Amino acid sequence: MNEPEEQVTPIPRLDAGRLRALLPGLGTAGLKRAATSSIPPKGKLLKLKLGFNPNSSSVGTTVVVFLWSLVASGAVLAIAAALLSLRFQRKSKPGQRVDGPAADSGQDA
Amino acid sequence: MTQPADASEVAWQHDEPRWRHERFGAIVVIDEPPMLAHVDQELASELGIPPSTLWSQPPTEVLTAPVEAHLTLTKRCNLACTHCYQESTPTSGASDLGFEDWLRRLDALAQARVFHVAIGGGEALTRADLLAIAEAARARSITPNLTTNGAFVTEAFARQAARLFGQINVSIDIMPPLRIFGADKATTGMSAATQLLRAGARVGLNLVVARANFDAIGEVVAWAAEAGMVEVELLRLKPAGRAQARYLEERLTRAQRERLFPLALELAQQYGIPVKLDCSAAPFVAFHAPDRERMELFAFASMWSVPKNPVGPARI
Repeated sequence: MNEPEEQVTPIPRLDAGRLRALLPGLGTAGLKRAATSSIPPKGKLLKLKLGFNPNSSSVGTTVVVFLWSLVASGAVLAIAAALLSLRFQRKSKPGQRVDGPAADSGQDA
Repeated sequence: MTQPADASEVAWQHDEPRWRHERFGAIVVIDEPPMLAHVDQELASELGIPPSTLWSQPPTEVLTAPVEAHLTLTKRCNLACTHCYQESTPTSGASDLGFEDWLRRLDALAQARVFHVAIGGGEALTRADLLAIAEAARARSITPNLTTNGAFVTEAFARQAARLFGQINVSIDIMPPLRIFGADKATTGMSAATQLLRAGARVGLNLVVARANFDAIGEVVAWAAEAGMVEVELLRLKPAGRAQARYLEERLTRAQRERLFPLALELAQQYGIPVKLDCSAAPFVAFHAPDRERMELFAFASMWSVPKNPVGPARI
């Protein structure tokens, strides 16, 4: 199954600055435009996945273009946590807990 | 489990957070913007999620259930592409599950709190009950997503699909009048994508990358960006099903495999659209052992983690 050796094409350099300037909105899938809570929530957002995976033939791990500097600084995670905080505030009424799985749903196996 | 209301009367709120307990805390999902987050116990409590007996158990990487499921609704397809890993044909589908079978499966997925389903085939639109299945998923708080070649997309379908599906990816492997894999999918695919976008759907593009269409990727990405698609996903040709027969002749050359990752970056930059690689293309990225600058431009995984070392790169 070995293929004959082929000439390797040199990999051209990218204009990293141009890509950085272009992609913040794209790479965060609209996260940066979302309304968020002004009060930072306590606790940590451990992992974050943005976007949908429509592909029934592909596992969901894909390569997404985004700004690493935003990730390294924790900015994306902070924005996402604030967004969730706002959404949960809207979902629950004062004095009530957030609806979720029934107590006997078997989630706590 | 609470019985879902009549699907036609359910006013699903696409921004309604969904969640389930895990040992580390909870998984939380919203659709707008689309995100799936792992939150620790403190943040889960802060969000109003009640405590769970899972929280007192030792930590583990293993989740209580999948976060998404892939549903092959049918093996029937209007086409018979030479690279089809399902070996679909217009006469396939004898072993397809019926509607009630899928409802039972959706019930099981909902019970396990699976958040998303990726629906495909064959060609899922050959099933008359596709939209009913998608509605059933929504009624169970599962977001359906769809892959299609677009041949059966009509304006009426597009209107309903835009309401039901989180995202729909249309398969277009090369721009017309060129053909690849023995079929002209692009003409109907482009028309379908345009109709879906006009109806307000979130639409992406799937492109199976092979030796013959590698040099044409840029043209397809350009069209997708111009049309207003949210992403282009480059899928690796896989040696399964009908693709096995000519895989060695059709797979990417060594030079193309090495070129794919930088090409994806360049195209994203040039046309301003996210370009994704499916997981089987991971070796093509790893080959470049990306330095920090490239890592800054193209993360390897869509799961971002809290960095163990705040100064170094986050774990991916």
